[in-house]
Amino acid sequence: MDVDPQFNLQLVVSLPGHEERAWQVAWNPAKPLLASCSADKTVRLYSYQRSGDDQATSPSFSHISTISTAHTKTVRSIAWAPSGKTFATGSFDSNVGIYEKKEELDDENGLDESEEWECVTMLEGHETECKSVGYSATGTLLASCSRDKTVWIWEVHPDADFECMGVLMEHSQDVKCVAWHPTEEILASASYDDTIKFYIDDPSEDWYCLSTLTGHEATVWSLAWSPDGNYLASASDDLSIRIWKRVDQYNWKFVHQLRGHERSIYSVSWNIGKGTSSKNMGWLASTGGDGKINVWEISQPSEQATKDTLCSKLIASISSAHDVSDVNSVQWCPRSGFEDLLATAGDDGSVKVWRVVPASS
Amino acid sequence: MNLRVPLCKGRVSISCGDVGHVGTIWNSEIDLISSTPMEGLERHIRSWFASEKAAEIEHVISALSSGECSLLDIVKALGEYLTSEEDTLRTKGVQFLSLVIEGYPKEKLNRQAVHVLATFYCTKLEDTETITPALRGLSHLVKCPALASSDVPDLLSAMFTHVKMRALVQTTRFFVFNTIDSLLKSHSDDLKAMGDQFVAGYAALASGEKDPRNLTVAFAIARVILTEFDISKHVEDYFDITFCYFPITFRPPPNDPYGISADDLKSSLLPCLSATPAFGRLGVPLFLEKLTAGSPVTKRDTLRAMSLCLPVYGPSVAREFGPKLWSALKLEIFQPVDPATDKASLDTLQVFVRVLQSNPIVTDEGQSNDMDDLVRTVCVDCLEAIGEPEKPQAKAGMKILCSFLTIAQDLSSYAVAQAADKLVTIFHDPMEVSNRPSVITLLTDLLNSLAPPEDPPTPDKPVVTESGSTPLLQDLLAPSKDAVLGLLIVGLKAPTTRVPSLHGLAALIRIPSAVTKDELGYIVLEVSEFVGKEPDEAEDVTSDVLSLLSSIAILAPQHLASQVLPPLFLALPDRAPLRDAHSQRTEYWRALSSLSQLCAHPELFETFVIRLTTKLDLLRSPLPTTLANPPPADIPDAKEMEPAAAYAHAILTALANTLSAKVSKSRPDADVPKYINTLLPHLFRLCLEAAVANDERVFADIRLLRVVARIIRLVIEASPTASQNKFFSGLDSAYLGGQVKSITGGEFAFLSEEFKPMDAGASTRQRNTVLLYAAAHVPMKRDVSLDAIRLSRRLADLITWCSSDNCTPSQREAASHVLASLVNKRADDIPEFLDYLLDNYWSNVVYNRTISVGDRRNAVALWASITRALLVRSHPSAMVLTDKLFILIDDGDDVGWEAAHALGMLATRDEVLTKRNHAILKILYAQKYLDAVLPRILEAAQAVTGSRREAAYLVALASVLNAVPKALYLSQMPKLMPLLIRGLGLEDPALRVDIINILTNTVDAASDEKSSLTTYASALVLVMLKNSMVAEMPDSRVRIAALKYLALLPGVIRYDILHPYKVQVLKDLGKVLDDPRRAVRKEAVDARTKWYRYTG
Amino acid sequence: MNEIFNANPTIYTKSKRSLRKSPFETGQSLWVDDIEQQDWSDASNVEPIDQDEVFDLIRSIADPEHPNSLEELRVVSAEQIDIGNNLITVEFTPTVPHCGMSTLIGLSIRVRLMRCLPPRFKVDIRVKPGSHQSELAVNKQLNDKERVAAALENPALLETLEKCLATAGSQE
Repeated sequence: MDVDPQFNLQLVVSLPGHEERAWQVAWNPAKPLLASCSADKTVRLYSYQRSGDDQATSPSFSHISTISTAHTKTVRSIAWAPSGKTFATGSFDSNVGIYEKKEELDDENGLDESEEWECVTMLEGHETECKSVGYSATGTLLASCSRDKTVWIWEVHPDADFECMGVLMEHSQDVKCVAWHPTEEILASASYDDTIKFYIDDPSEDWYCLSTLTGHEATVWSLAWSPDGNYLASASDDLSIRIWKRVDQYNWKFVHQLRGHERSIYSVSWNIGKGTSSKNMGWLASTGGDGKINVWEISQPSEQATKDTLCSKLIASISSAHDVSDVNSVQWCPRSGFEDLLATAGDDGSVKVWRVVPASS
Repeated sequence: MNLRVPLCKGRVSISCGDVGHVGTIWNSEIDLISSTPMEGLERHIRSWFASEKAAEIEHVISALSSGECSLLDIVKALGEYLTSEEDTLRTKGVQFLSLVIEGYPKEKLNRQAVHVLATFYCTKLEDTETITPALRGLSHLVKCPALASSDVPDLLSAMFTHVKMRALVQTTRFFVFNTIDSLLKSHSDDLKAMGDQFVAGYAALASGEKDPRNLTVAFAIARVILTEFDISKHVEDYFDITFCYFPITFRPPPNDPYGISADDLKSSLLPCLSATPAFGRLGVPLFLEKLTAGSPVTKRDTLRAMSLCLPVYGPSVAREFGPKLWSALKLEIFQPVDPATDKASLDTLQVFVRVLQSNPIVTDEGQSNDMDDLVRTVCVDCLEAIGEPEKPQAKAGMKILCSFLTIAQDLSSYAVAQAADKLVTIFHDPMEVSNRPSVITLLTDLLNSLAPPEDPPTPDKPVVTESGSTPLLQDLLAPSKDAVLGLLIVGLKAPTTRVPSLHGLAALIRIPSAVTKDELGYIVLEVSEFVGKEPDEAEDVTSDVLSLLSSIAILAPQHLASQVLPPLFLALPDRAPLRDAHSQRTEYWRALSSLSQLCAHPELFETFVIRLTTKLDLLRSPLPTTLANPPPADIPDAKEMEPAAAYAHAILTALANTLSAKVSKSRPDADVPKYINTLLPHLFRLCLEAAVANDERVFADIRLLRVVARIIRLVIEASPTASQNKFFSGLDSAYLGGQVKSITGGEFAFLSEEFKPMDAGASTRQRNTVLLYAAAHVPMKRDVSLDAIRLSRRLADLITWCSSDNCTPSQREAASHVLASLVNKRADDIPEFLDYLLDNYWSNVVYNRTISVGDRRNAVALWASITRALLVRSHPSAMVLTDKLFILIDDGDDVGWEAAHALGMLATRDEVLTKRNHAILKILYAQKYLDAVLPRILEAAQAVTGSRREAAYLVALASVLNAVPKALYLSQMPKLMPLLIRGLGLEDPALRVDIINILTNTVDAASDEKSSLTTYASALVLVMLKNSMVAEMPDSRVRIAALKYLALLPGVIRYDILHPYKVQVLKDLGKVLDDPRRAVRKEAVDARTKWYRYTG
Repeated sequence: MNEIFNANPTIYTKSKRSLRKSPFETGQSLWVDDIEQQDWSDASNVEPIDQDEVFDLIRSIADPEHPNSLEELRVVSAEQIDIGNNLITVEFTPTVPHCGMSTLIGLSIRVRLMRCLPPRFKVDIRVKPGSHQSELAVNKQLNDKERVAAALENPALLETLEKCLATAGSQE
């Protein structure tokens, strides 16, 4: 595998703290907050800031709170609402928790002073472990999936009230991951049955599965939409990452494959990154059981001829990112100005933040 | 005494029941008593009513005993209370009277008085206020010898009519049971005379009792009634008041106030259940119900009860419920819930069958033997189960049949014959080939049950007789024996059945006179082919084959001599295989170890010794003796000594192993001593020649000397004084006088004089032979004659010999053994030597700072072993020498640390000074020593100056404590703990190991000293973690010890105390799992697993 | 779990001695009992974790439905353990191809190794190819860390596991 030496993954900070395996990290889309969840049933929150506005410097992180969730088992998944005011947790206790910041009564010292987060709702419905949760682009919908083979779609009402819009039992095995389209109300799910499925809301009817992607030869662990929403990346136990292109409204097609891991790939994340070339489609980061973090630059081929293909270049890679541990989750920071930051969570219970920096520096 | 009654009718008459009757008493004798005691009496009563002080009662009792007043005075004085309208006063009144009766000597009450009181109390039974004290009074009154038979019926009928048990509290009911109990003891005939009235009355009284204290009495009573009274009309009632408590589920409350355990109740109830056959028809169904429904505990209780009851209930009952009983027991045995229940069921079944067989009913006359039909069914069922040998039920079925063998001749012969035939048939059934292993295993179970339980046969209680005059069991097999033997032999052929067959044969030959000598020969022939075979196949049969053959060797050595041993001896090459001929080496070692296991028997051992010594002679020098014919190519050249030495070493090791097996038997073999005259000289010759020779010699290798030394120890240990005398004189003239002939058995290839191991200039080779010299002295008998005059000189010389610069550690060790052994056994012959030690040796060497620390360390070690030799026999000089060690420590001397360790070494057991080696050991020497030194050490160690001296004292403390039984210092743990933990910080691995061992030994016993352990628990966890990390602690002994200790804590410390550390411990131990040393990792795994399971 | 999948398995004898061979047996030494004075400070000779050691960890795990160890039932053997660079592959053989206990057995092996091996080792557990009718399903399950993690948070299952593991490490 040719590693283009133009970038390095530079460790910004290592944030230990979870007593057990850390499963997932989630950047708050609106505020300088980073959250992680763990088998120790807690969620940890970190705030970060840059000294001045110098893009070159890395932000500094500080732990601001550890939330003992209401879950009785591992907290497997965590997702922020677009507003950044709410986050949802999915747990092996089969419930989905909704957390909001305690209302501050005195407005003197503004809202952000307190980091008191409380569980405002517990969504029950899944029969077994909930494995992934996600908010739609507008924040009006929440999806969750479970080992019970179902995907649930909830409508978010005011005052932490939720209404179940649909229970989709399309997969033949555990559903490992759900991912909403960045702009439209299209939901994708990945499963232990090696397939990927798409769902939309038929205005006349209910939610239904409009398409199924096969091709992976083992469990599909993780999904990531391209920033422009035209592509979907999927990471699998078959040690490959596949990129699927949306060829027409409800049709996806396998266009590209990435290989660069020796063990299960647990997580992918795709963001615009800081690529330079005009054809640049953003940066895709992946990680997994081999403890390696890979960063690819995805770009369109220069010739129009081959329009259904993509080019990828491994621009940075680091092994033993969490010492000997598996790395379970990787996520790009979604906030502008921080596109070169990514966070990872590992079996060692620690969360690490990395920065993609030019090799020269 | 007389009942003197004043003239005041009214009151008393009211108080007693029958006026007229009482009246007659007054008239009988009239005299007035002085009013003073009466007043005293009333005063006491009044103040008692106020205070209820026992003292008041005592006054009255003593007044009564002294005759100052009479019972009737008391009754009179109590009068108004007894009749008071006020309930409490009435109660108290009667109470007072009862207390007096209770305290008053029973024999002093006469018939009359007892009668009056009894009648009085009976009337009081009607009054709910007075019933309790009245019953109390009665319970004591009936203990009076003077109680008339005529009173008993009235008394009881009053009780039966008025006493409503359910309305009374436990203590009151207790009086009732006590009363009946006493009556049963004293007036059982009167009770019998009452007939049903009593039997029924009591049943009614006792029913519904729940309190354990009362029940223990009630059960005792029931037991008596059931066995001695006619209860025929009330069987059900009594069944109810006994069986309703079965099974006892009572669990005593925490900090049990009245010390009655469930077992107490069980053991007092059981005799009731088994008291009468009348219960049979009612009891058995209940048992069956409990057995099928109950928990394991209930099952076991029920089974125990049945084993007791069935014999009493008798054959007819057993037979009536026979089928049900059998199927219930069968279930328990065929699908056992747990071993205990399984065992219990088997016992019950055995009882059941005994009962049936005690009076067998045989319908089918065709049967040759008179076996009860039901018993036959049982056997048939079991045989059926055996019919499917691969099923677990088969094993159960066989177990049942085996349990019958002791019941009755007919039964057992039937069982054995049938079972054996069945198995033989299945074995030979071509369809059942796959089940052969199970068949043989079952057969082995049968054979084992026929063989005497304990250890394998021995020559003096011979098991093989040509024709059988023999006890019962083995005859059972006779009919089927040939078939069985044949089966087992066939079983040997196939790999899958080989091991089972070997076990079967082992069982077979344990059955007295089951097999003839010829058959043994046949077995040996068949088995011998597996001896020394490559154990490559999945199953390694070698060990089973050898153990079978070695037990045959005891019965018929000649068979082994002729069939098994020759090929093994052939497998031993005359010359050592080359360095790279690994497979040949494994071959000779396999042959050697087989031989050494098989040749323990005297006859065989003799051959063994001869054959092996011959090999040793061949190996003596690696080059062929005659230069006429040059060595073949395959012979290693002279430089290649090691393979030859290793081969010789292997041969010697085999010899030593067999010898030690022979001497460490409970009754050591008698043939060992004779080898002091044959084997030992031979070995001495080989070794001493090698020591003197100037060319390379195999037997100069010290590793060989070590094994030879071991052999010498074993032979000398077994030899009587007489032969030891001869041997040691030879030994001394060889080592001290340069006369080797005697010790080498007359042969020596060199000039005797060349052997001078004790000379200052002696070569290392020669000096090494002192290992043999020492080996002989260690087990030397005390009464062996030695030249007492020159002894002191010899010992002094030996010490000088040790201090020579070219003295190696093993030479020094050998010398110290000689010193220790002789000093201990001959302390009285060596005053000069002791003076020499304390003067010259002390000042010139041990305490002489001008000589090298190394030399002084050695000196201290030597000093310690001599001191110890004296200490263990409580010799006065011991303490004098010990004090010198303290001097070294106090001076903060370079060798202080050494001396500190030595203090511990003094209290340590070793392999040299043991009873087995005839050392003089005074009991409690360790305790005495500890009492002498520990306070000194403690005091010094507690001075927290951090000085070298203090550190040395910590070392002393640890090594001493580590050497003595924990009981001696357990009580001091609170004081010791901080010191020990401090010691764990000192840079001395040996010290840390000592300390951790101490902590480990005290950890469990610490339960009573928990306080100290708990206080330091967290500190201990952390320090142990530190000591278990290779990065922190390079010495793996310490790491292992620390991990072992960590593994103990979860077992002895409450979770809430240590749970804050759990996460860290698991994390850190996770690192230790990667330790470079396997042994350490093993402990880490263990500790980590324990901590994973460690939860609240 | 009431159904017995294999009522009467063949019981094999345990390898009698500890598996570890002496230097003589391995041919490293000429001497039958080499009492080499080993120094306790471990700068010298490192003993790497090998097949036998891993086997020692799992051989005495109890079978869920028989009173026997996995070794006695030949479910595991040293030969079926492969040690690569920080990667250990353990293969096990169900007593019967339809054995419903296979995942439980595999799980017990995984948990035992999780607790007893240095974290640097990644462990793959598979049933012997062709030894089980739903081989792939079992393997997939056993190597899905998420499912394993969830299983270990199921009290009932955990209890059964601990029962199997209780005997682990006890030699004879």
